[in-house]
This record gives sequence, C-alpha cells and structure tokens, in this order.
Amino acid sequence: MINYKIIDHTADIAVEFYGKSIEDLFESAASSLSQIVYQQNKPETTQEIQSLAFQFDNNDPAINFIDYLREILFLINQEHYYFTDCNITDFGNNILNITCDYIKINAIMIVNEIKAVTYHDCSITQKVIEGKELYVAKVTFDI
Amino acid sequence: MKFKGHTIDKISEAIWEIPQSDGMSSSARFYATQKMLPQIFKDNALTQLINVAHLPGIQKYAMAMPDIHYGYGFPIGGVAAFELDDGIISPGGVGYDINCGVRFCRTNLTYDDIKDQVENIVKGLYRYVPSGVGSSGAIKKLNQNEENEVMTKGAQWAIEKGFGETDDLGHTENFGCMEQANPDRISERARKRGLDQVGTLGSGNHFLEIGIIDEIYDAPLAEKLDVRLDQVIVMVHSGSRGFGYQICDDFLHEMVTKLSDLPFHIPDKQLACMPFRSELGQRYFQAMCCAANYAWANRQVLMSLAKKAIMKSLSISDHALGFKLIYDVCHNIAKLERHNVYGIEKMLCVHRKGATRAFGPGREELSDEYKDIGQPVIIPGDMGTHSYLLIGTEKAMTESFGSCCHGAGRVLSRSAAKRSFSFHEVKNKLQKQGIVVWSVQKNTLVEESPDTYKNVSDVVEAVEIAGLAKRIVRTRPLGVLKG
Repeated sequence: MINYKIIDHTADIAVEFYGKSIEDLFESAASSLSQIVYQQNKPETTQEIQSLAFQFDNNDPAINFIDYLREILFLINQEHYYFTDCNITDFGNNILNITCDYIKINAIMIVNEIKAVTYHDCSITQKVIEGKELYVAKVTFDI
Repeated sequence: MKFKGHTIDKISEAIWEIPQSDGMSSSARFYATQKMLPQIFKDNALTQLINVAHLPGIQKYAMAMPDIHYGYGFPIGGVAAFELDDGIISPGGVGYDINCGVRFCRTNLTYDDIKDQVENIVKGLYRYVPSGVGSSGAIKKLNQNEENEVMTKGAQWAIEKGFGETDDLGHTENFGCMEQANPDRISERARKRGLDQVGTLGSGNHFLEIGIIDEIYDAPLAEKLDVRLDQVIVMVHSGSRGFGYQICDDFLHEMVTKLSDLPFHIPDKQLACMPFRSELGQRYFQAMCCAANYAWANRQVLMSLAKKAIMKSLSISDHALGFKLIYDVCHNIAKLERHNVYGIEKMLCVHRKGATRAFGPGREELSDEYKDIGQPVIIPGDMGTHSYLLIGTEKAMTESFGSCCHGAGRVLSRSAAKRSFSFHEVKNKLQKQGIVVWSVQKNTLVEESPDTYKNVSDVVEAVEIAGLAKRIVRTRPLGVLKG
C-alpha cells in the first residue's frame, strides 16, 4: 500500500496521506514526509530513536494531524531528522505518545524543501481505494 | 458572467466585481484584462478571494491583483483592509514568509561594460551570497541581544553594521522598520531559527538578478529615478527566512485553537484570525513586525553582499559601480495605514499577501524624494523574461488601498513543471536567450521555469489599465542566482 500521493497545487504542494486507521495515518506520516523532503537521499547511518509526546488542543482529528505534522516538519527542517518508522504507544483523550526511529541527516541532502504545514482545506475522510477502505488525510504545504 | 454560482460584474476594462452575497461581509474585486480570465478561472483562487470577503470588518471589498493564483487561505495577490475596532488580523492573510519582498538597484554600468563578464558576476554572487535550503553564515551567528536589535531596528541595524548607506532607508518601504515590533512576543523556536539566517537568500522563488533596462516608458520619471536605457540593474528577492515562518506557524496554531471562541464563522481554517484589538491579535501584530524588520535587515545585507560581489568580479571601485537602491517593497505584510473609505478617513489594517504597496504622490509615508511623484513599484517577471519598474498612482489610493501586484503569478504547479521539463532543458533554453543561471538546487530551476508563470507583460498591462501603477522602465535579465 502506498502511504502518500502528491497532488498538484498551483503555488505549493498538496499531499494525500493514507492509512488503514487514524493511528496508521499518524504512524506512517512522519516517514512519508521525510521521503518527500529527502526523496532518495536516505543515508545508511546509525539509527536513533526518539519518543515524542503531543498534547492536542483540539477535538478535530484533521487539525490534530496538522499539528502533529508541524512538529515532525520542525524536526526535519531544524534537526534534519529522516524518520523511518513510528509506533504509537498511547493515543486518545487528546494525547499522542509515539516512538519514532530516525536518522540524523545533512541539510544539504534536502531535495524538496517544505517550509510549513498549512491548515488550508485540511480533512480526514474515509475512501475506498483499490478495494481497500482507507483513511485519507489531505494536507497543503507551503514550499 | 458566472463563477461557481457567483455573478461577476464588469466594472471597467480591467476591474471585475463579485457582488456581496450570503455570508460575505463585502463584495470582492479582481483586476485583470479579458484575455486573462480563462487562466484565472482555471484554479480555485477566486473561491479563496470570496472566502476573504467573509471576514468581519473588511472595508470596501476583498481584492486580488492581476497576478492572482491559488494559494492557501488568502489567494496569492490578495489585498484586504480591516477596521481596527471591528476588524481582524490574520497570520494567514500575511503568509509564512513575512515581508518577503524585492529591491531594485541601479548602477553606473552599461551592457557593454559587463557583456563578457556575466558568468563571472553570477559566480561571484554565488560565492558571496549564501543561498539555497537552510543557507546560513553570511555574517557571524547573532547572539540574543543582536537578534533583538535586528527585530527592532530592521534595515537600520544592517546599515550600522556596515551593510549599505543611511540614504537607503528613504528608499525602503516604511524606512525599513516597523516600530511596533516587540521581541518579547517571539518564541524560542523562532529565535533559534533566526540566529544564523540574516544575509541569506534561501530557496524557492527567491533570487538575485542582474539585468539591463531595455525600454523606457516615462522618460522624465526615469530621469528623476536616475535610471536610463542600457543601464545595468540588480534585483534582490528574499524575506524573513525561517524566523518569519516560525512566527506565522506559532500564531496560526494559537489562533486555530481559539477559533471556536470567535463570534463569526470562517470558511477556511487557514484564515484563522483574531480581532485586531484583542490581546492575541496585538501579540501577533507585534511579532509580525519583528519578522518584517528581520526581512528588511536581511535584504539590506543581501544587497550589500551583491554589490561587493559585483565589485570583486569586475575589479572596480565603489565609485565606478555607482550602486544605489531605488526602492524596496514588501509582499507579505499587514500594516496600519490611513485610507479614505467612501469619504471617511480611517486607520486600517491592510493585509497584502503576494501584493505590493503602490502609494501615489503626497503620502506622508514616503521620503521627500518620492513624496511628489509616488512610490516606485517593482514587478519582477520570471527568470527568462522582463521585469518592470513602475510608480504608484492616485487611482491606486482610491481603488486598491494603494496596492498593486507583486509579480507575474504562477500558472503551472511545481509537480507539473517537474513532469514537463528537465533541468538541462530549462538551463539550455535560458542560455539560448543569453541568460546565465546558477541554481543551488536543480529542482528549484525546474520548478521556477519561465513556463510556469503568467506573461508578466500581460499582468503589467492589466495593472496599468486598471490604473493601479504606471510603467517607468522595463528590464531584461542577464544573470540569475536562484536558491
């Protein structure tokens, strides 16, 4: 199953993220975003693990997903993390605890710089894609 | 004419209006010639313009300039002015790259002086001006006190550090500083991102361009601005870098979490806003001013580095180069300006997102040099075509809150550009036109390919027909450094 698809947008880019569940959407989004930013520039270096904890301020899952991506993008842009795998340890009551494997990477390996995650037109819907019922999160990024 | 159920009325040859209807707080206007309409209708930018017209306290109408294209929240090319007491301020109405802007500089050089040296100059620009993703290191990393000074002094800070002349301030919108800046409003993340990016070009559509003036439209004004045919000019396009992005991101997040507290509905969460007079509205405005000042300091340093690069590349003196800033305009900003609204003078918060101030003669905000003629307006085209220097008009003051377009406007997505052209195709095409291009990232060159933009001459024609600004000179590019 593909985890994301880039959608045309006149000035910036829009991305559809796919997951078998809401939890799966969150777990796969960090590595998807890393792949979009770094494309094939994934180095073979020591893998590190970081536990990330989020307290969401909103009851809207789409906004929570945006706020999660904002944090992930900050770590990609500022700390140059390439996320490879994430696993949720606690999700509910506006709390997300997630453990993410990442590789520390060099900024010069960025191929597609994504500068910000926007709230524009954000949504999480359920769709049947290739016979599978999936959760689809649509997100517009500033580049 | 109709757009998604909305009537479009023709007001004049280049002015169109979508009347106020359910949920809208005002009508919406856009500026375009008839031939530009099919392109404008292609994407959803007009829906975004209608969304802006829903915001409370909006004055006259939500506006979009002729370079309108689909963005997020506001359309790119959007202008909206709000009352201070009953209106709002919106980080999404300013954009992430706060005070992204462009400056236009003249030199004493002519085409013959540099025609064999263009590649050398562009290499020099690349050597002296940090550019590309996350670029840094133009000047020593700031400490917290220095960063505070950048936030409060703007371009003046750079001049005090030896980057440029005091005279440059009179040639910069707002004299290169917004006095409402308050560094106490800035998050630790934004501070961290701002420490090492002053004097860096960045990536995306930011550029340094060296070109020549190839057409004069208004000789007396050209003479007044000290620009002439065949003269070498330099343009600098950059903004507040990661610092401004973080500020926008911080406050958008905070406002989105408080949307349910507002007594009105907004049609797009990216339009998240707060009453201008509210505590959060004021905190954002003061933080935004810090980023605006950071951007002016950034462009002041960039211009100075570009000047140094040209002098070194050509082995000429400061006097021989005769480098002088004509004007610096900002594209993404919210400013307090006094305007006449249906006969009543009001102080307004004017949002320009991908739009340029274009004040006509007589405005107190202009330096003595420009007070009697109006403000220079810069409209860059894509890297393979012309750019224009114009002057603001009295008509712009009554029609568009003294606003004009900021560039050509995209027509093709970045993904579509990458599917359509290769790096070598774009580079070779530009080379055949005699344009030397250096791009730190190959992707950027393809994404910014000339074919991805509207014809800037069509855009400028619409501006002039609508009366928003008047052409002075046209330039054509010789060399471009892209981030």
